[in-house]
Parts: sequence; C-alpha cells; structure tokens
Amino acid sequence: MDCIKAEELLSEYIEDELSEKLHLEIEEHLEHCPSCNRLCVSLKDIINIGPKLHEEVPFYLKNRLLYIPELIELQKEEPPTNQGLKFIAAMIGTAILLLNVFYFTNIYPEGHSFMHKTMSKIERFAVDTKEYVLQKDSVKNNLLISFLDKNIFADDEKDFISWNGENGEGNG
Amino acid sequence: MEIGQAVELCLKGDQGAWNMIITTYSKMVYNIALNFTYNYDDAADIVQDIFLKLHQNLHKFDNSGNLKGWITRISKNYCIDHWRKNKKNKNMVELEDNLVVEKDDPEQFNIRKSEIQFLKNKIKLLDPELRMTLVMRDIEGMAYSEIAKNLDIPQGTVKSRINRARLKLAKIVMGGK
Ligand SMILES: [Zn+2]
Repeated sequence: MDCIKAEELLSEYIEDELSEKLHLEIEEHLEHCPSCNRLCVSLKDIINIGPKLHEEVPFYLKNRLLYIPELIELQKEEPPTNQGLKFIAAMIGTAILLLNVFYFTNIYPEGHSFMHKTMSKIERFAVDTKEYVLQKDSVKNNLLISFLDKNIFADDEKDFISWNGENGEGNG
Repeated sequence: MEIGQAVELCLKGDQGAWNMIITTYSKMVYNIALNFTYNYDDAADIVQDIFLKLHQNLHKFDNSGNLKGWITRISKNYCIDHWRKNKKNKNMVELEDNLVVEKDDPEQFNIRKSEIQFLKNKIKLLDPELRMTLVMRDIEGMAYSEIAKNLDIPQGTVKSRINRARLKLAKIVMGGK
C-alpha cells in the first residue's frame, strides 16, 4: 500500500470501519512510514479534541430565540406610522431652532431685528389678548352681578309687575 | 409532543412547540455558526437570524420531511454565505477562550486548553464545505449516515470529505506547531 491510499483510508482505519484485510495493510504501512504515522497520531488528536470544542448556547441567546414568535407578532401589530406628519413636525422644530439663532445672536442684523420685532408683536398681542380677556371678564362679572341683583329682587319685582299688570287690566 | 408535530403546532402559535424546536436544534446551529465567525456576538446574531428565517418559513416545511435536515441546510447556506461576505475583513479577532476543561476528567488530562484554542482557530482555515462536515462529525458527533441525510449528499461523499478535512487540518496543525 502506498501513502496516498493509506491517507485516503486513515479516518476509516482509526474509526475501525475497514475490512480486516485493509486494516492490517494500513497497520503494516504505518509501521514502516513515519510521515503517515505522524499524520495518524494527529488525526487521532483531532478526533479526541473535537467534542471539547462543542459549546453550550448562552442564556441570553436562548432567550432571544424563544422570544422570536412574540417579536414577529409585535411587528405585525405595530400601527403604520404617519411619516408625513412626523416629517412636518420635525421641520417646524428645526425651523424654530434655527430662528432662535437669529434671535439670540447678531450674526445677521436684519434677521435679528426682524426676530425681535416679531417677538414684541407677539408679546403685544399676548398683552392685548390678556387685557381683552380681562375686560370681557369684567363685563361678564358686571352682568353676573346685575343678574344676581335682579334675581335677589326678582320676586318683589314680579309682584310689582303683576300687580301693576292686574291693575292695568283692571283699569283698562 | 413529537418534533414532527412541533412545526404544525408552531404555525398555530403554540409557544411550547417553538421552545421545543429551540431546545432541540439551537446547540447545533450555534456550534456551526461559531465555526464560521470570529466572535461570539456575530455567532449569536447569525443564530438569531437563522431561527427568525426559519420561523417565517415554517409554513413551507413539509411535515413528512426531515426537520433537522432542513434546519441544517438553512444554517449551512446562511453560514457559508456570511463567511464568504466577511472573509475579506482583515481585522478578524480570534475567538476568545470560552471553554471549560475539567481537570478531573482523565480523558482530558493530556489536552491543554491552549491546544483546544489552537485547533478552534485552525478549523477556520478549512474550505467551508469541508469545515461544515467536520463540525457535524467531530464537534457535534453526528453519524455519517445522519450527516448524509441532513446535508442531502451520498454517505461516501461525507466520508471522503471528513477524511480530507481531518488530513488538511492535521497538516495545518503540524505545520503550525
Ligand atoms: Zn505513508
């Protein structure tokens, strides 16, 4: 038997899967061939060490795997997000942030004065609105007071009116 | 519950059936992935992707078929594909040692941790097809007939591939020592 043939059958020889005749032929070759013999030793090492390379699935990974069906369900249930609205909101936010730069710095004087004018207009509007609301409230309060006043005396007035009316009818 | 029923129950949303599939096959898939990546995080990501893909394709599985074989082939294709896409990356970090060698085990007396680590890194130098069969046989301890059935190739091919893989690995190891 030559080295090529011996190499081909080496695994089956080690795992004892050869016919008796072939087994003996390889055995004889190994006795006289140091290079094939070394290869045989190395192959036995690999076969011995192999199972020690097996590793257990880490706990965190097993949890991730068990969670897969739930994950798929969650993805199905997720409502479609309104990308358009999100984009508009983001743009408005960005614009406000950019305008703040003009408001707080003087890198662009025209922009700076424009921002301050606009802000004072907004403030003026806020003050006016507040005054308007307060005014409206005071009118409302006055009306309420007068309404309450009327009600307090309502019974007397009613008597007075009805008495007058009856009187009137009687007179007419 | 039998593993054959598991797919059917899984499709009906049975979490217990899915747990059974994970418990039965995740070890094998993880160990295949470890031999096609250079770090544990990548291996974990690959395993998650494989099982995600598996879950999404469960309806395609023929219940009379071989579930282990199906999972093996999905894993093999995914891992080899990932390997080919990432092997250009020169900054590969060798797998850090995560193995526990029991000192009181007489069989392991002569095997040092460094030797295991050494072999672990050398396996990655093998051609992906040879590596896959070697992992199934020498790390996962599967029989030749089972490997042949699961990879859907003749038993003779499996035998010769494993022998070639071992010889190549032995020559790499001997050259590196
Ligand atoms: Zn020889």
